[in-house]
Amino acid sequence: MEFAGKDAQPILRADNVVKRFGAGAVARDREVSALAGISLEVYSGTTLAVVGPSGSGKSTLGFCLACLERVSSGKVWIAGTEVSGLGERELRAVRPTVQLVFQDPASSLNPRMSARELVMEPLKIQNWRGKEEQGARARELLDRVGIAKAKEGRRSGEFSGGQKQRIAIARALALEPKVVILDESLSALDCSVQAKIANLLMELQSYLGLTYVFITHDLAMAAHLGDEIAVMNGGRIVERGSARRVVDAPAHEVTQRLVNASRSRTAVARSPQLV
Amino acid sequence: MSYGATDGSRAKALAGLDFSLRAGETIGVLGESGSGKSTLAAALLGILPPNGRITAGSVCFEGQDLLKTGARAMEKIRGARIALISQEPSQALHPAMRVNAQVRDVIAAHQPLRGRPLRDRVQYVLSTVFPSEAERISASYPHQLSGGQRARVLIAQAIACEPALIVADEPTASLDAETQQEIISLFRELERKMQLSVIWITHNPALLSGLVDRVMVLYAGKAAEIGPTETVLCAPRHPYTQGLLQCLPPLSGENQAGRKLKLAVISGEAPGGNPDTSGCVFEPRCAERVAVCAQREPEVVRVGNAHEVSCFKAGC
Repeated sequence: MEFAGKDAQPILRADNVVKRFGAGAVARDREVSALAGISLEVYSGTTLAVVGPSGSGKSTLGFCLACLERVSSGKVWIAGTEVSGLGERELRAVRPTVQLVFQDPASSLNPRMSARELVMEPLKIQNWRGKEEQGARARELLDRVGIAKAKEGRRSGEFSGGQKQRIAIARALALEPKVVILDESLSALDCSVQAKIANLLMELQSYLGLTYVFITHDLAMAAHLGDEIAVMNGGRIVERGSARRVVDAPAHEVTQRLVNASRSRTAVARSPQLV
Repeated sequence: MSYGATDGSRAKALAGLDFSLRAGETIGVLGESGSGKSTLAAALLGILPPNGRITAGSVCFEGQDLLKTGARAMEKIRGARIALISQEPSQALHPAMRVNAQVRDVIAAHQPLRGRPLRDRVQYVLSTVFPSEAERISASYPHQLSGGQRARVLIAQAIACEPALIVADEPTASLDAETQQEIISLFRELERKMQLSVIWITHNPALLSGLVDRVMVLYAGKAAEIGPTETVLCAPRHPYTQGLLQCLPPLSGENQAGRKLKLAVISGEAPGGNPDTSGCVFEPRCAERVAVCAQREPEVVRVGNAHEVSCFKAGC
């Protein structure tokens, strides 16, 4: 296969993961299966893009892979460690390995904290070295994502949407994760800002050897950033393959509908005069 | 049009926007955050927040200047002749009212219908947006509906009084691609049936093709470019429109080696609102700027059939 390290151990692996949610107080006995048996593996330094209609279980999968939700059954391995059976205390040691960047940076960043404080926060929580070193690390990370030194002391509420997402990315990278789950991380941004953040994500990936799980409903962006695309529907992966194959020759009906919907939308905007 | 800040200063959001819309015509307003597109919607409907003030201009609708119309008279027009579909379907609907009651209230506010005829009218309106399951949905609460269904309820409210103009402020932004497509087809059908004029506000250029007749590109409170949809999207003349369209990733077509190429970007950041400048508002970010761009504002240049561009370059 064309992916580097395909023979090696996958950095992220899920085996028949099931996640059920209770239907609430009204119907205690009824349960909803958000994930109905997901198996996947992602290799180091590659990007798996996860697409699918609303309610197909994309975000739940992200949460389960990031150890923020417990799986109902099945197993998840991160960097060779089986995390699905771990207790809270043991999980704490694993958490730095996998980080999550959310859709809306305005609601995932405390608006009253400065950019520097936000990036230092995970370092503090994990007792990473001393305060000086934490500050230095925050400065280095903010510099890497393109936040000017003069702006580090500003509160996150004063930054634009794109800059906020840069700060969220810097924060996710603070503990040197191997895997970053990007849950619709570009969706709330303007097109011109999306392009910049997408470029930043690619740069960081090649520089730091990061592995991404990129959850999105934007098939064009999935094909752009992803090495592989997994298409979800009803809590299952209905199709999975190289980004190019999935887009050019979609096999499953759900994928075909997604491709058609995206194609009709991008057809005119990408005319030969522009490319 | 400007907004007041707490320190007494005023920030301009829109600066001299000129456009017209014929009956039955649809126009897309394309702009990014802070370009003034939602302010435009609020100004047209007379629902600017208290710190918003229109300093000059007029909005002529069915022979009446809406900016000179009193609050009471505007209430009669809003919802009946001009309807708004707002951005977030889940926030625009009352969480504890059934769908039929929410559509009923719109009709009852503008038409003298009561009792049976009113109920029939509600059912009729709901059946136009939900051809198959109007009965079930009409008795549902918003939380029991999907995002796409909630968007349809908003459309039902908007068309309930058969308005002449609908201002749609990104009604599909939070929906997935397939549901977006469904809502757009429904919209197109209603436009044809009801002879609607539509102002469709969006930040997503890909959405507009095949949806609207004309596109106006907003940048920093000014129209950068306006023209027929296919012309603006396929052969844009303003450097901002060109840059914006190139930011979009292609859907495949490129080979595996090309895929990891970087996307084109527009350097710098958009100003929030209309900056105080004597030159072109896009000049600081423009890759093709020349000396004159910083000195004075470009005039509107007609470059083709109904295609107008505010750029010095377009005049040559």
